[in-house]
Order: sequence, then C-alpha cells, then structure tokens
Amino acid sequence: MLGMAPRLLAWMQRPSASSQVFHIRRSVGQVRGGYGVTERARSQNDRLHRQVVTENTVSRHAALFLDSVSGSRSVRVITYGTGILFFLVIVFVPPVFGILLGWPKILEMLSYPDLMTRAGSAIAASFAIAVPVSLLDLAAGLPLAWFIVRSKSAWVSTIDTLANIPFIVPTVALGYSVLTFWGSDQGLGGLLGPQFILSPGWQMIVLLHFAFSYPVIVRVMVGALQGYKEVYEIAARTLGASAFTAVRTVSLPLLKPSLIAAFLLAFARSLSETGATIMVAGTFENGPVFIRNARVAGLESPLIFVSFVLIVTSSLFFIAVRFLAPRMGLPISKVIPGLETQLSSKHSVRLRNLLTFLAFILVVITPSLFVVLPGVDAVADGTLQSMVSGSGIWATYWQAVGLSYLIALVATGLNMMMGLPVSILIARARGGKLIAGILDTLVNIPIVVPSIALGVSIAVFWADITYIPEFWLLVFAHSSITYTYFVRSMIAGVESIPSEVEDVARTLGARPLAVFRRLTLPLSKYALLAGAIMAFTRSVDETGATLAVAKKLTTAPVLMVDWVRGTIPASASAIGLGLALLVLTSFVSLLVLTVASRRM
Amino acid sequence: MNVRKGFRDIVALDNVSLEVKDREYISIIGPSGCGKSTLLKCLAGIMKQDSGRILIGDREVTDLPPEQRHLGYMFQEIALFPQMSAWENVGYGPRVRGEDRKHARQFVSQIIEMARLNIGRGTYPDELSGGARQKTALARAIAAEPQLMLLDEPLGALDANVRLVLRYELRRLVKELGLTAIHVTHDQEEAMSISDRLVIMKAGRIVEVGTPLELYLSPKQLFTANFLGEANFIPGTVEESNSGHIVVSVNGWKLSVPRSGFARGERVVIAVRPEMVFLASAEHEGNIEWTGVVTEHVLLGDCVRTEIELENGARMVSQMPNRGTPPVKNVGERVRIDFAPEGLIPYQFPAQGLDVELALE
Amino acid sequence: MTSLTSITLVDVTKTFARVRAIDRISLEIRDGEYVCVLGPTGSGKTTLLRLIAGLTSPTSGDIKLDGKSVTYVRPEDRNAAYVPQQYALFPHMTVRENVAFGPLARGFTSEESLQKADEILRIVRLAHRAGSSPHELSGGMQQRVALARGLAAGASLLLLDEPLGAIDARLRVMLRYEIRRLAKEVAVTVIHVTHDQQEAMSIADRIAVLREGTLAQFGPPSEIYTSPESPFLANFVGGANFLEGTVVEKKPETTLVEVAEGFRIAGPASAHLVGDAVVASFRRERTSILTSANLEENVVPGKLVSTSLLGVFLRCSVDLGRAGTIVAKVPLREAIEQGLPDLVGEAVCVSTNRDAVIIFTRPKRPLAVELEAL
Repeated sequence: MLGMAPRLLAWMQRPSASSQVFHIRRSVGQVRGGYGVTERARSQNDRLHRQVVTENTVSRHAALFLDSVSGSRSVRVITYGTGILFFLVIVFVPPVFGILLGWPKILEMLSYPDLMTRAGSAIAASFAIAVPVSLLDLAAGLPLAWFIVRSKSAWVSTIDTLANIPFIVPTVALGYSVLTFWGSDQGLGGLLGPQFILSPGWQMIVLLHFAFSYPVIVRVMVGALQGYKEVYEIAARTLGASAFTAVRTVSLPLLKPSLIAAFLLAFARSLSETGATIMVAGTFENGPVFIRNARVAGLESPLIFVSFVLIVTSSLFFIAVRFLAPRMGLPISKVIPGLETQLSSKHSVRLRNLLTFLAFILVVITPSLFVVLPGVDAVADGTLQSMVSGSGIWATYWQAVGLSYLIALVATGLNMMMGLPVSILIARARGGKLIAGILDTLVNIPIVVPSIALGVSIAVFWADITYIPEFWLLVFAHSSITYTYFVRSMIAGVESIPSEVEDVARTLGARPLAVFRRLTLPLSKYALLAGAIMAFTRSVDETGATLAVAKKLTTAPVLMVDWVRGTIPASASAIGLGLALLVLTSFVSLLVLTVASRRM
Repeated sequence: MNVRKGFRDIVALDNVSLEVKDREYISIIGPSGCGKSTLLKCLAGIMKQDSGRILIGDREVTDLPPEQRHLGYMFQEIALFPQMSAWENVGYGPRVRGEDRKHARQFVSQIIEMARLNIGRGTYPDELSGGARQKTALARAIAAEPQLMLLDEPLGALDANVRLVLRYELRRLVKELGLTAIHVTHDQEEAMSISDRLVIMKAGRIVEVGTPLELYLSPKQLFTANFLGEANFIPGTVEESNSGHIVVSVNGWKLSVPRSGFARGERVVIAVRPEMVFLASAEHEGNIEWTGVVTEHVLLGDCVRTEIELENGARMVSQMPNRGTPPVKNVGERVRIDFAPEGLIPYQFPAQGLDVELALE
Repeated sequence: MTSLTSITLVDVTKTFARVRAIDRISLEIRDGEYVCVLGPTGSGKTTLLRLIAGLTSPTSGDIKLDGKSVTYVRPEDRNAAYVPQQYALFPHMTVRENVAFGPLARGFTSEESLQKADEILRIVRLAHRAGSSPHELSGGMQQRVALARGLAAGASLLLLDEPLGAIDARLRVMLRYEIRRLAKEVAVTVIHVTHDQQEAMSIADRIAVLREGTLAQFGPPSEIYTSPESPFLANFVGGANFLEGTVVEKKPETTLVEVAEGFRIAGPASAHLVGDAVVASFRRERTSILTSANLEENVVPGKLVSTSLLGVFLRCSVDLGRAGTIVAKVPLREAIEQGLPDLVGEAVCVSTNRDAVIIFTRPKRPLAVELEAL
C-alpha cells in the first residue's frame, strides 16, 4: 500500500468534504496579490482552452449522443445495475459466502480433535496478536500524526514521507527485512550482541505487524486531523483548558470515528497478512500460517474450517467494534488541572516527541529499509547478471513477476470500470439513502476478511459452480481484495465535490454523462488515480489469496516466500535483489502518484 | 483592567497600537482582510505576533498561551462542543479549572438564567437554533470568569433578524457583568449600535478611533466616512476661503460649506450623507442650483432611497426617513437637491485617488 | 435577448421524512419579475428554489413554467439556472470556460459557446478577467461569473440562493442593486432567496414571505410594509413595536385600545369589536419621543432606558412599565436637536400617529413565540 493523500484513507468513516479542491468561499479582500494570472496558470488554462476548441465534430456528436442517452432512466439503471451485479457476483458473495459450500468439510473437522485444538490456537493467536498490536500502533502513531499536522517544524514533510515507507515496501520485502534486522547478525543483533538476536516466532510477528500497520494509523489520523476543525480545541483553550486537557476532553472524542477506523484498518491488516508472516513465523502458527501449512500438507478440511471461522469471527469483530465502540466513552470526565498543565508544558511535549520518533525509527523505519543491504551485496557478487539474463532461478522469477503484474492490471482495470458506478451511487446516494448505506457497509467487508480465507472461499465457491481457469480465479480473488481500496478512494474523491456543483451543471443544461465527463471526473482525477494505484500495488503485494487459490501458477510474492523459507533454494543476495525489484516498482508507482498530484 | 498593545509587525498587522479602558465595549471594524481578526487572535494567544507586547490589566501576557490569559472568546463558527450537551458546554470552563462539581453546577445555572437561555439540561447544540447556540457560546465564555471578552464576528453566521436582536443581548450581558469587551465585525451598523468606542481598520492599520457619534457625524478620514454608514462624495476645488466657511466649485456649480481650514485653489472632496440630501421639486426656490433626474426611487421600509443623476454628471443618493407619507418621485422626474449645510464635510483630495482611498475590498 | 418565463406553483408540498419543508404553496410569478423569497433559516426557501429548478420533486402539487407543467421535467430541460449560495464555480475551468459551459452542454460548438461567453462577460463587465481562475477573484466578481454562467446558458429564469450571503455588509448594499440592474437589463425572471428583509425591500418587485414552509404574504414591498397581514409579518419585515391591549371604544374612524392603565392607543377603523383582545403595532420609525407632552391618546409615558446609533436613526429604548418596552427610531439630526443621548434615564413619552397603527387580533400563541423572538 502506498502513502496517499490522507483524506483517501479515512475509509471506514465518511471523510468530511475536503477543502483542497474548493477554495472558492473566500470573502472579499483576502486574496492578496493573486489577481494576476500567473504564467503557469495561464499555460494550463491555454491548454484546457485548446482542448475545448479542438474537439472535432465526430467525437463531439458522439459525445452529445451519449450525453442525451445518459439521461434516460433505463440507461442509468443498466449502468448502476451492472456495477452492483459485478460487486455482488465477483467481489462480495463468493468470498463471504462461498465457504459455506464447503460445509461438509467443515463438519468433517469436528472429528479430528487434535487438529481442532491446533486450529483453535492458531485462530486465537491471530486475534491475540492483532488486537494489542493495533492498539499499540494507535498509541504510537497518533502522536506522530499530530506532529505532522500541527507542527511548524521544517522536518514535517520529511517525517511525512518517511512515514510512508512501510507502505512503499511490499509486505514480503518487509518480512524479509524484519527477519534480517531482528533475527540475524547483520541487524540489530550484530550491533548489540548475539543475545539480542530473535528467532522467528511470535515476537517477530508482533514487530512485523507493528511496522506495517503503523503507516496505516498515521495516514488515517493525518487525514482526520487535517479535516478536523481546530477551532474546537482553541475554544477549549480559551476557556482555560491546557493543551493536553483540551485534546483529551474535546478533540479525541470528536476524532473517535477516525480512531476506530484506524484501529479497524490496522487490525484487518494484521489479521490478514500472510506472506511476510510466513517468513518470520518459524514454527509458530496464526490463522493464515495454519491455512498455508494445511495447504502445503494437502489437507482440505482444516483449510476450509479455519477459513470459515476466520471469516465469521473477523466479520463479527468488525461489526461489533463498528457499532459498539462509538458508544463507548473515553475517560474524559475528570480533570486534574495541575498535572495536565505539566503535561502540556514544552518539556513534556519534547519528551513525547522524542519517544515517538524513537519508536518510529527503531521499530518502523530501520527494519523496513533493511532490505536494501542484501540487494547491495547482490550487485557485488554477480547475482545481478544472472537476474538480467534470466538464468537459473531467475527464469521462474521473471515469469512470476510478469504474472503478478498482469493479474494486477486486469483486476485493477475491472475494478475501475465496475467500481466507478458503484462509487458514484454511494457517494451521491442515487437510488435512495438505504441502498447507498447498505452498499457502503458491504463494500468494506472484503478487507475485513483475511485474504487467505477469502481465497479459499472463492476457490470453493467457483469449484462448486463451474470450472474457472486458475488465472481468472486469481483475477477474481485480487479483484475482490483490491475493490475496496479503489471504491473508497473514489467515494472520498466524489464526496469532496460539493453536490451543488453538479446541481448547477444540470440546471445549465448538462445531462448526467456530461456532468460526469466535464465535472465529476476531472475534479476527482486524483482520487481515481490514487485508488487505481493503491489497488494495483495491493494486488502485486498479495500473497495469502494467491496461496489459497493457485495450484499451478505462482506470483512474485509467493515465489519470494518460497525462496526465503528455503522451499526453493536461493542465495541471500538473490533474495535481496528479487525483493529490491518489487520495492522499486512500488516506489515508482508512488512517484507517479506524487508527481501527478502536484500537477492537479 | 486596561488592555494595551504594543507594536506588531506582521503583514496582516502593521504596527498596531491600541489602548482599551476598563469595562469598555469597543468594536473593531473594517473590510475583510484588514487584520481585525488577526489582531483579536494575537490578543487571545491563538496567533503569535511577530513583535510587540500585550498587557491585560497589569499582567504582561505577550508570551502566555491562551489558557493562561483569562479571556472569554466567541467564535464566528460558534464552536460549541458537539458531543456535550448545552449545559455541559457552559460548564466546561469551571470543569477544567478543577472546580467542585456542585458549586460549578449552581454557577452554571445562574449564568444560563442570566443569559435568558431557556434550554433543558439534555439539549444538544444541534437541536438549538443559530441564535440560541451563539447565546450558549456566550454563556460558556462568561462561565470561565474572564477578565476580557473577545468576540470574533460572533453574529456572522446568523440570520439578519436574529443578528438585530442578539447584538443588544451581547452588550447587555457584558455591561451587566462589568466586563471589558472587544468585538470584531465587518457590519458597521452592528458596531455603531452597541459600542462605547469604535476602531476602524484598513489593510493592517488603524484608520481612526472614536465614539460612534463622533465617527459618524464628523469622521476625520475619508475612509471612515465611506465605511461607517453611506456617503456621497463630491470632488471639487476651493474657490473662496473665508473664516468660517468656504465655497467649493464643483463642475461649475457652487457649494457653500460651513467649515474652514482650506486654501483657495486646493482640491477637496466633500462627503455628505444621504440623509442630509433633500429633494425639492424642480420648480421650488432654493439657494442651490443643483438639479438632476431621478434614476431610482425605492421604499426601503424605514427610509425612502432615491438615486439622482445630476446635470453635472455626478450621482447622488438621498435617503429620507419614512414618516408615513413619503413623497413619491417617479423615475425620470426632474428634481432639485438641497444639502443640510452641517452635513457637508470637506477633506483634502487623497493623493492616490478617490477610488483607492474609499475602496471597501 | 432571452424569452421570459412565468412561474406558477399550484398547491405544492414537499415532505422530507415526516417534515413538511414546503406546505401547500401556491403562487404565480410574472415573466420578467424580480421576486425575493424572504424568510428565516429553515422556512423552506432553498427547498422552494430547488423544486422550481427541478433538483427535487414535489411530494404533491404542480409546478408550471410558462403555463406548461414541468413537475416531471428534468432540470436540464427547464431553462432555469440555479445559483447556489457559494456560487459553485467550476474550479478547474477558467472564468470563460465556466460561462461557456451552458452553451456547450446544450449542443453548441466550442467556438459558438466561447463567443457567447465573451458576449455575456462583456455585459457583466468581467471580460478582462476571462482567463482567470475562480479562486483568484473577489466575492463580488465570483458572483457575477455565476450570474453570467446562468445567462449564457440561455436561462430565462435565474434562481439565486442567498447571492449576497458571503459578502461583507457594506458591499452587500452596493452589490444588491447591481444584481437587479443586470437582471432588468438582460430581461430575465429572477427568484432571489434571502433572509435579509432590507435586501428584499430594496430590490424586489414583489416579496414572498415564507414561514415554516407556508406562504405568509406575497406582494410588493410597499404593500407588505404598509399592510402586513400578521404580527409576525409586521415584525419580520421592517420591525415594529407591539402593545397588547383590549378594544375599549370604537368611533367611525378610530379604534381605541387600552394598553395599560389609562393609556390608549388610537388606531384606524377596524373590524374588531369592543372587548376584543388585540395587539396594537406601529413602526419604530413612526414612533416619536416627546420630552414633555399632554397625555392624550397615542401618547404613553415611560423612561428612556438607552440610546444607540444606527446611522440614519438613533435607536431609543423606552420602558413603559407594565405595558412593555418600546423602541423608537428617531432621525439622527432630530434626536440630537432634542438632546436625546443625554436624556438617558429621564422620563419621556412615546407617541405615534393613528394612521401608523395596525391592530391585529391577539394571536393564540404568546406574542414572543409568535414573533419568533430568540
């Protein structure tokens, strides 16, 4: 996952209308010296002008025809209907309900008590890791997000970019990075001594999950803080509350929805991540690791059973937190003025910042970057040449990489085409608030379910209905997993456009398609691009579902897991190089997005 | 409790110095972007000034954070805490000071009654009307027992008719409690009607300070004449200068102005308020030959507003109180205008031109 | 330039989740008219506008433009341009492109559309800013662009939602006349929504006052001002003093109302009978302050509580004891001649003329509630 404009990631809770695109409401006189059209603006305007003028007649007539057709009710029903159909048939039903078709296998499990116990502890382990890690992430990430949004220091943009790094690094690379940093003598152990070297197991899993969920928290909270009206906090301070008290009693309660959303996102990621977890798990088992072991051992029923339980428990957990947590109060009634003033003092603030940065650097950044080292070695010992020439293990590597990108491209393309109507339907509540509301909640579900369980469910579903080639099964699975990223981004983008803009356009004579073409799309360009890139990178990164579905095909991350676990022998530098390429492509995508966003 | 401010050096505020007396209700007015809100925020500690000092009473608060300045602040956005009930909002100040619960509750209900707020304990801000919400915000600020009340466009978000009533409530409460208040607004009528003194700002500087009557009847600056109430502006040249009055020549017509201090040949601008411009029919004998044609004639309710295009090309606005039988003038009718002599205020013609000097935005 | 549109609403109701935003409104607006819809926040003004624009459909009733029913006609086919409070200028387009949007959407070529845009920009005197981006313009200019955009689209009806809401108080006074002038010059029908009665009074041909979704009164400003149909209207448009009392005597041209012990207000002949509970209302600007007077009818004694400067008037608040408080708006020059600012705290009398008094039946709800005081 990449670091995006913050507002795009606040997705389990409606983001407030962004003020980035619309700075029109400015009372008279506040524009200082901006009355002249700058050169850049002028050339931009000229470009747009030329675009308008050089529309040729054929495309114009085609556009006008489509526009007028779009007004008809039946056309609209078909467009939205297809989108909803795709969502239900591909993205929602198979992953969530498909597992039920394997009911016999689930019942079969009940006759293997030993396996049941093992399965049970694996599932419990998943939760036992996910919940504390997410809470810790929240506690550690919130101060950093606060710093990024409120501080006037020159370091802010650097920290902001750094906070994205665990996003840029694909989880498989992160897994290997954590493995080497915490678990080998080249990492932290080498500096501090052999007793500090960790062996693969639950401690490493915790460190890993902490690292990759951290940027999620930071991004969501940065977005929430940017949308948060500071005036409430200021009002509290003018009433005599110290900074700490004001934040505790006024801001945090108001930010509760975002805090919950951030927590749930971090939780879902921890529960779901497979590839990197397998790398650092050793003999420990959490849910996804257990499923993978079952798959490797060829056992069907434990596989399906655990998937089933994971789907049910994660969905229930999600619903419970979503609906109960908002009602939970935060400790806000008692105020201890003396203590809280101390906590607000400059010294306390500095100490807090210090601790935050320490945790950030030590636990998040350094491990993430560790993947660079082996890659550097690789250049030295000639592995690079073999990689380029495609010899030996590299042949399968390039095949896997190619497959990964192909799947990602197709899945993202499908999601974009089919997800766009659904996004608009939700954002503008077309077809009624009830339908929009239901879809809004349903659209979140594929992320909640651990991807490997999702993959199993999809495989079971389609196996029962009809034969689907493995490639397409993978596309469906990846579609399902990345759909939510795209759609949530699009919804945020569309929602940030005040609906009055579209109202005005309609009264000026523009039909629905014209409104979409001329207004909605250009104004949500960034959200579209960001959503697509998020979906694409997520798909390239995806391990769990691929493991569940694929019997013959291998994608790049799956291959990397095999290399690291030793199932397929590969030298350390080969691993480093292989992962480095994946990191590079993620990096390139982020660059594309940053550049594109500057020009919009 | 005097409030004194030293010099300030931000782009928004250019060396502003102001002294406010104890228990005074002053308003700072000016067009958008003149720096009035910035000034208030610096006073409150919400914004940090680049240079200068702020004293509240005898205390130097220049570097203190807002919570230590003992102020009450009212925001244009009202900013009642949405997750707390109205009563809890009002009780926030006492609560964060660590006051005893029971004592605080009594205090809160006293304040709410004083503000004449009829709301139940379980009412939340989103259930209240705009005016009730702002009153609650006022009660909340008062409950924090401030020395100084700062009001930042407190009525800006409210309906016109609510503004008209609430402004007097603001003054009443402030005066009843013996507080000092600084009220920022762009609505000059609002400011005039409730302030002891007015401060007029433009482009980061203070233009003029005085009581409403002083500033309205004899504004010393052209900008004040235009910003506070409406005015007609007549450029001309001094033809005769005697002690006690001057005669100004305007495009061939003459105007006798009962003021002195201008030399012959000097370019001047005469400001005259619309209520000092009287209409007589064209045949009526008058001592002024200013005639023109009616271009607009509207009943505003309490006044009748007439726009006249004079024969020398200038446009005049006349606004007469409606005493029950307003004279009806038709568009196109020829009229003669007469000025109340005490309403003619001469100024030196501004160096950068009349439009720039009078600019409201 | 454009054909004018007349608008007819027949018994239109709009309900949102059990709340009646618009409750059975019928009205007729002539083509070329400049109508202001006036009312407090929440009275349904924006909903009314959106109904006419077609952005929302009535729960019941019919809407006609130029005599033809358009209740089921989509907004893009209605020729009624909607200008929301924040103008909603398209931020990714220049001023010219914004204005050209309408013609382009209706099928004109880009050359034709840009030409039309330039033409309209000249009329609103913004041709020199055609290449600017919306956020570079001042509030007043943005508003002109929004109007130009509606006109260029060929709209014969402009629906303006609080067009001056985002503008400073002083500029509002100047800009309101600009809008009216433009509308009349270009000859379009305008429905202008506002909560500012002074704004409505100064530029409307007719004012439709809305209250809680119903039409309280619809007529020219002078009519609403001189003959308001209810105490709410008397207070909302123009402001007034109210004294509760009982009719004690009826003469051919006068009705006498006793408002406090021994003090009577004389109003014009009315349909009320002796003994009726009534409210006598008279405008604040028709109320004078007398420093010494005989106590005759229409003269009530009290104490001058405060004076405050409104500009043209000095606002004087007089406490009449049990009868209540009266506000008199005295022209400033007179007030100074009378020395009123220095008389605060002294005993004075308030007086008004018989023909300035309007007598209403006392409303069932308490007067304060009826007048929607805070």
